[in-house]
Amino acid sequence: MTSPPRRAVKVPLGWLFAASLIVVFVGVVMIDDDKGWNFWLEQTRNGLTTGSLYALIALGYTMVYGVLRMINFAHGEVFMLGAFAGWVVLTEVFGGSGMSDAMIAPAILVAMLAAALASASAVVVIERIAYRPLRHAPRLAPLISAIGVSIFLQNLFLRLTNGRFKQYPRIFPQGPGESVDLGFVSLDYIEIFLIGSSVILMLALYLFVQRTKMGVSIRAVAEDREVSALMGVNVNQVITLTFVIGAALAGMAGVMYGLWLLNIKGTMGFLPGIKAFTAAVLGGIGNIPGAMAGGFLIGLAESVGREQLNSVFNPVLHWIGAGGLGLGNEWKDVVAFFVLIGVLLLRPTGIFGEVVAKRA
Amino acid sequence: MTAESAPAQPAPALLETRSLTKRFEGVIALSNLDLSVRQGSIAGLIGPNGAGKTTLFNVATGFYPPDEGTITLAGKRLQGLRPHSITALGIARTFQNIRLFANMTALENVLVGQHMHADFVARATPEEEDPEPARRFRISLGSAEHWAYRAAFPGRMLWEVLATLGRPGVVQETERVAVDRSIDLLGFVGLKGRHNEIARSLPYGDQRRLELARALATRPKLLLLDEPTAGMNPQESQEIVHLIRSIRDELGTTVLLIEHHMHVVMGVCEMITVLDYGEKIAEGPPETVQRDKRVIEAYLGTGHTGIGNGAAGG
Amino acid sequence: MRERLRNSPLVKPAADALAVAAGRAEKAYGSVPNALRLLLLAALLIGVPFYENPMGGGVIFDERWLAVFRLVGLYIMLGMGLNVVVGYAGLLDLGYVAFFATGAYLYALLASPASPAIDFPIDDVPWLFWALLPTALFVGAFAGILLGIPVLPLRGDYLAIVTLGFGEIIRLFLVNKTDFTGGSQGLYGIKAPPLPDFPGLNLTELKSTALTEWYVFIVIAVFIVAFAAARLRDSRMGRAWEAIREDEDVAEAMGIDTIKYKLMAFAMGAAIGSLGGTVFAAFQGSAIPNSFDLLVSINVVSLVVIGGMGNTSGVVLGAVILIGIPDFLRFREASDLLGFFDPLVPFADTRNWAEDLRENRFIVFGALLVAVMVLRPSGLIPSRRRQIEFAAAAEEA
Repeated sequence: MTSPPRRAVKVPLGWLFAASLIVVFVGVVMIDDDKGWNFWLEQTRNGLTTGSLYALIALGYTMVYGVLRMINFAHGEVFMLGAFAGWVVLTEVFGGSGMSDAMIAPAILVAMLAAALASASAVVVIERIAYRPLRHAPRLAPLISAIGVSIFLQNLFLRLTNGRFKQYPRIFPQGPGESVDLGFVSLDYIEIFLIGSSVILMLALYLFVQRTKMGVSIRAVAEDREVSALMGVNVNQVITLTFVIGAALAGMAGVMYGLWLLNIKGTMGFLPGIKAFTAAVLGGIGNIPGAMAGGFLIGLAESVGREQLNSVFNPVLHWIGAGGLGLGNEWKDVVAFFVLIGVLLLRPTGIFGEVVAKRA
Repeated sequence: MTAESAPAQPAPALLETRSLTKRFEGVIALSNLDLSVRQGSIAGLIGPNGAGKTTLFNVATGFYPPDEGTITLAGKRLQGLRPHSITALGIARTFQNIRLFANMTALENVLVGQHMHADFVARATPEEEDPEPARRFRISLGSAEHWAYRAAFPGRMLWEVLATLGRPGVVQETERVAVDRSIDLLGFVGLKGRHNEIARSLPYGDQRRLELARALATRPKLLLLDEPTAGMNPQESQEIVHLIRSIRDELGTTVLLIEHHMHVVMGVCEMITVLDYGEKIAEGPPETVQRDKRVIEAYLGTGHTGIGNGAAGG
Repeated sequence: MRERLRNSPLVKPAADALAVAAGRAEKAYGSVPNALRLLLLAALLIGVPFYENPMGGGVIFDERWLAVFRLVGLYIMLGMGLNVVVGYAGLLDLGYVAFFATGAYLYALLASPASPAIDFPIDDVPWLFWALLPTALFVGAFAGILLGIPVLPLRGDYLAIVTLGFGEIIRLFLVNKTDFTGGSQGLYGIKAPPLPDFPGLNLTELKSTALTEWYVFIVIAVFIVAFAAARLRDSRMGRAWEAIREDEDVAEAMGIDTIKYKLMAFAMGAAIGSLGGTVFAAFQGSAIPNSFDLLVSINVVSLVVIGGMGNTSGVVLGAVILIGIPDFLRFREASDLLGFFDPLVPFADTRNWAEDLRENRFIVFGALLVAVMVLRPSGLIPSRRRQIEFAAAAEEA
């Protein structure tokens, strides 16, 4: 045979890009110093905290897309479900704000487990009823079906709560002074809890997918479904497992959200869902570490980025007489959309490259 | 036809590539390829799986831009053009795993191929009678007419919409002519009277014929066929070969085909190019290529004596 | 036995004559051109506000009905517009409300006294509405092209999410740019345009009201849009769209400029959406950002998909089910109708079902979407083409 093909050098584009983004961030922050160092730190902490939640939710999107090439539109509602499950456990089982200090830690743990269980069970049912029958239907059908599930769940919970917010008990120590002082910066306990738990969960997931037999079969199905089936992998089981893992993570994220921001509502999953999806795409759909990184990046983009947009663009707009951007809180939500459009147009495979099934 | 009996004045090259290179994520799919297909000939492109044959087709039809090198059709540069512009210049193709519009009828499939030539927009503008109006505008890219054509884009779009809604005479006329031509083409490839059958319900062999008809509807100067006889028994293959010959003889179309059935390639092609790992390893009339050592090695490994003509080939 | 009877000398001539007559009648009906049949249908529909109850009691379909019909008609129009994008070209647009809003605000900015854009009194321009109808088409088409350009390389799910994002961005823009759009209060106080007087037809004698006139207007508009959509579909452009929907790369290889045609699909769909928006602002009398939220896009997509994609009759059915029925449930008649089932269901008062259904209509809506997709993914009355598509896909499973 003739000589084998030469391989070109692979450039770790993704890491380069992420690194440059961070450099730009830091640079702009340092230049624009009329707001003060502390302000930016606060924004960053905020961004990382929300980012950790986005990351957890994004994992569900990315894993399901990896094995099924389908966007689970209803994933945000799974997050919402977990939040409610946790609320039920904390208020009904443990007595809400009245519980003793000693019970707080175990209560939270039980709540998170219950949320994981509830979300996972729900998603098993959803997958069976709304997605599995449509696995071979043209693309539109599962998409509409997922939208239907999303609408159903959102409104079901709205109805169950009569359209009002439900309040999580204020059991996690929050507020001024409830923090750890590290010298140049102080981190709130709640932030440590959120970011810490997320990182631990993501690490666990990563190890699971890389090291365990089940994890390998998930990756196999993601890469080539038909061949995996031929190799003896129970594809349906693997797909269900993928959904379950993603849902469990999202459910736990829901409890964390509730403990932090206290108000939960039937429609709470919509925006975080879209932003988490953006994070998954940003990191490269199907790419698990990518989703994690994407989540944090989107969180940072929202808090730090919005301020940047305000301070950078306002002078420009004033100058052309168009009035200020006046980016209020609603615009924070739009940042994610712009990122999504930007990624899809400029680098659709995401920062770290997508890991999707080749056509079998 | 062997090289000895070729006409004294060889026909000019229709498709030409020079140093054509294409890489995918570290794998070299085409490597410094110099290829030339003479006008009016039936040429073959063979090589083991993964040699880059379909990649060449994809680059030639504009689906991938080449990384290096040039590719021209009758001297006109192809690289950088969008696929539909390349089709307008005169290249059409069929696909390895039949990509018909499965849920449309046979007639509709061919009508889609007629799209460029049922162009009532260009026809309605008073120009000299050019049966291929679309080509006029794409030929001299960057020229003044080209930019004027582009600038008038919104106007033409509006006219197209209004004409579609109003269906004036010129529209009905072009549609009628397109339908007639499509029916003729279906007859030419052997699918006479089958025009209302849904493409996906046609038997395999007829689906390949339909794909041919659809490609021919674009009135190509060069027809790229990707494994036209794949999955066919010898008799069907011969029918297709016969059809390919009449395409060249009656329509004057140049044909370049990728094939794995050696008896087909050796039987109908006048000139064969052999690729392996993206490089050209041999070129010439069938007898030469059959005996070329490198070719034999590429296909069968060392220690064999011949390819095709009944031996273990394909 | 029947044969022998029929051919007996007594019966034969009569039977033969009857057969001939029946044959002629069938031919006559078949020869009534589609145009005439549609005209008849249009006339029947236009007459709806005037049908009187033969047993006294006035008009059968009073103002409440007309309001519902008008809304259903509007959604039918929007559905047909989206059908061009989703049904013909296969581009999943979840942000259709953006075009609807464009048309609405176009009219509202010019016609509302609260509008920050116009200072002079607009009452002096009674023909404003009529002038804006074709303008809305063009502005809408332009908006469609603008929004279409960035999403050109996207397919399937990604296209859906990005267009959804666009819809939301437009809504936020409408709410926030108060100096331009009147903010969350919106633009209001738009006077209804005087609809034309038909010579020889004294409308007041026909007891017509503004609502009646709007209803008739919408019926006519729907027929016109349906006609345009049909023309678009059965044309070279429609074939190009179908080819793009089936296999975009191959369509491009066959000489179809996919960029141009995808943009045209967006433009056509947006033009119709925008037209609907202008009409909406005119009969509603105002343009408030909350009327242009995601729910509108989802409604339109759902009615197209559930009714039967690519099919005008499907759009009508979808609109009736998804828009008409929820509103109908408010009527006393709905409760009465459901009350008929009371004897069958002993432990519940079925008359309350209308109320309950209406309160939970979104939950039902979501469940309905799932149910239709799982049980009948091609929609309730799909076009013949779609039936083939979905049947084949099911086979491959």
